[in-house]
Amino acid sequence: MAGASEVAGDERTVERGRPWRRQELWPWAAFMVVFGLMPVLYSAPYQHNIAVLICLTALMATGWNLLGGFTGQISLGHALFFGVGAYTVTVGELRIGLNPWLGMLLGAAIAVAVSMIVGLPVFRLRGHYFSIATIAVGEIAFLIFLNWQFVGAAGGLSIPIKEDSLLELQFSGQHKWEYYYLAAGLLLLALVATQLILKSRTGYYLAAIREDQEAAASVGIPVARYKQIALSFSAATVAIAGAFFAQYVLFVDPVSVLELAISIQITIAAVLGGVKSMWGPVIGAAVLLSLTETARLYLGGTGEALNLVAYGLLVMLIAAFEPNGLIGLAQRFRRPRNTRGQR
Amino acid sequence: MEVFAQTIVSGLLLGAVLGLIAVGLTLIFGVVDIVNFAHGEFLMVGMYIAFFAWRLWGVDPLFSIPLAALGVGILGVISYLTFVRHAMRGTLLSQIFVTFGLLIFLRGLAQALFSSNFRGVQGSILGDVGLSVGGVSVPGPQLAAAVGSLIATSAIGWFVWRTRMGKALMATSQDREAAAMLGINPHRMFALAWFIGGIATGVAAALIVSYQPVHPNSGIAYGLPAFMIVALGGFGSIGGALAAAFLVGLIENIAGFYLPTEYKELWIFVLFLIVVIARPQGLLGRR
Amino acid sequence: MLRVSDLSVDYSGAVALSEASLEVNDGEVVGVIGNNGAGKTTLLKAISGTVARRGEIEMDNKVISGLPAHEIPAHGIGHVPEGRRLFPYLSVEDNLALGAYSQTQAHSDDFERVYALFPRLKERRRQQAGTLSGGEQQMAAIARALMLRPKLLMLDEPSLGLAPVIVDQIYNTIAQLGKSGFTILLAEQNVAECLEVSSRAYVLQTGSIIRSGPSQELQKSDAIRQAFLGI
Repeated sequence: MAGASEVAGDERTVERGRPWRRQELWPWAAFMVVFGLMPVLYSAPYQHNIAVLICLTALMATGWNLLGGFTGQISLGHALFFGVGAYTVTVGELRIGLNPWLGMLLGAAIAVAVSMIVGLPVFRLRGHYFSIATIAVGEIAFLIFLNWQFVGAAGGLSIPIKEDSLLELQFSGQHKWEYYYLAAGLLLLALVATQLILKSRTGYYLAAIREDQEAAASVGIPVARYKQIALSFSAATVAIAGAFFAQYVLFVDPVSVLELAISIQITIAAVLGGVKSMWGPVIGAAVLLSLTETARLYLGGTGEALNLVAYGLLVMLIAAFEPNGLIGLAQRFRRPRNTRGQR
Repeated sequence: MEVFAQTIVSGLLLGAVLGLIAVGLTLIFGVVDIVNFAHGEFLMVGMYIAFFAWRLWGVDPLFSIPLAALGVGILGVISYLTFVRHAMRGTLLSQIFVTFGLLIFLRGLAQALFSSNFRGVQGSILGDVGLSVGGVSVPGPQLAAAVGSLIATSAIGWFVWRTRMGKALMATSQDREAAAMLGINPHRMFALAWFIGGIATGVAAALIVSYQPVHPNSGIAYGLPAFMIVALGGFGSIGGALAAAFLVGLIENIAGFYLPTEYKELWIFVLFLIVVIARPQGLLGRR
Repeated sequence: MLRVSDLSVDYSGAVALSEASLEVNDGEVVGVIGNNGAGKTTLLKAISGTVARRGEIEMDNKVISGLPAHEIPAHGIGHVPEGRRLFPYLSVEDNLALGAYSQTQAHSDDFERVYALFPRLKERRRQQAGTLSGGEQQMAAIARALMLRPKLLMLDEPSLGLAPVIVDQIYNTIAQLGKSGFTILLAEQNVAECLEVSSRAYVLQTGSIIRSGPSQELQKSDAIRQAFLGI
């Protein structure tokens, strides 16, 4: 879709940013309505939990997608940044009494620093090598935290329960709507940031890097720097989601925030929804978690397994037949048949 | 000294088994250009086949090797024909996630069918057998697994380097288009690569299940090192994969002894990162 | 033997070959000349099915234009691709053996036949093909195609990147093959050599055949001499 030709064609407008088109505004409106009314639609407490997790998963997947979908660097180790965020908040609160909001910011900052250390070596690799190297990085983090006594090792750490307060980011109400609106707000912020990046010169550079790194370098785009910028944004966003998650469940351990399964979960939401659109990760997260919850609700323990079967199948189908995910599938029905086939 | 010898022996035993698994993985990658992220789950499927052959019909895992091999081989072909074939034409993202989807699918299926319980073979023929040479003990099942793996690896080597079909397979991995110009059907070669990759994994699975229980997530313990080994040895290089497998087996055991044991798996990933960053084509890679 | 009508190839929107028509008769050596990027390689690849194409290709009165690449050799077309494209990590002998892959059985005397044509290859038969020199690789690539016992041999730029002495050697062999009755379609940038060994030739320019005729006539044509021979 956003091939090299489009990049070249719109070059005049790069300086002042791409103008907004009306059809780009309605997803925002839809987002506001759906996410604004979600707690009203879902009134049972367990549904609020799912609503919060949808927001957090969408937040992570949005962060991942700037690097994976828009820059074409498929990381399979993003649990690292999720863990960094979660552990920074928890350890900060426990050891030095750090405020969770500050802890969240600090977590994002540390994640950016870590992403720079990690980015330097792994960005030298391409394609499958890059992806496998990111798995290795994620596993190293997992194994270190699993055995590091200072951060609770395998047993994990609990955040002490405090009075309900926005400042302390703790709410004991069963309905969880405070958490929900805060998470939705963070997601909205991340989406706005993503949109601004995509509309800016950086967005074009990232698209050029995704299409062809050599070609991008040959026209003078500093490929290494822009890949790092994408990774830093991505790491910070995922870390914020991790920090919020830790604060939400008041507990952190390596299995719940650093395992390979978390990295996969982050990517799958984006892939399922569609990586070529910034709304893909949001839709993917909503579908993924609703599916999981429905299966769990109606089928219990077997439901969890059957849910894996179903979404494994879904991921295979999308990879094989509709690389643009659910959004691509929807467009397929909307568009007349003969204009399809732009890959 | 005895302890050191013991770690070496254990490392070699592990390396031989990892080698067979990694050779299957690298063969698929070399020919098809896709990393089978579900390779560990292929192993898990093979382990279940061998386990149930024992449980239902009392067949010792040692004798269900052909069954497990064939089962996983067919699984490989089906995976190729149903989804992988289509994803190959897609982007890198499709190529990566098609086998990730397969991984999730197979794990879910195993969990739905067999629950999350650990299931182990009891009283296998080799269960109580074991050697002890100068203080170094070699348990029978592990020794059989290592020897069996080496035999199977050699058989695969013989097939790809000595037979007409195997050479056609190697030709396809080296230059798909030139091979097609000679009349070699690439699609048949892709399916063949998945079949042989599956067979290798199935053999390893039946060998492992004599001493290790199976559960839906038991693939990851071998799958993860296998990815590292294949990248270490150089994607698509059979010799490289074998060498890297022994290296990984040895490092895991030696590091586990001399350094804090809880970090023993860590060093493999560290080694992997150092090698691929210094030499992105892997130890013996050609690309 | 080979009849190509209105053959076209697009590469993601760009026209690489446009309605090319040509014919190769039994026992002929036919040249295809043109500059770099004129569409020579695309033409041969379209015939051997390694690029998607439109138009009709007939081999011995059988339409083969709908077939996938791997079914083309069975119709007697051997393609020596640009850049030789040997299997670098297989031995020379294995490369040759794979040349006969589409035959139901390899003929052992075929090895002797190609080794007689290229004695160097016999010396090097156990060596990995990737370790051969450029000239030897070209010989091996031709030998590999000959193992198929092709009715039509297509050669794509056999002189590319080779020293003049080696080019002469390769062209001697091509001339020898032509005299012994092989039907050959030869694509070349090296126009002088190509017109020397061929009896007829087609001139390709930006994807279209702009001219054809007996090679001797083309050699004398001022336009050809100016465009390709720099005289």
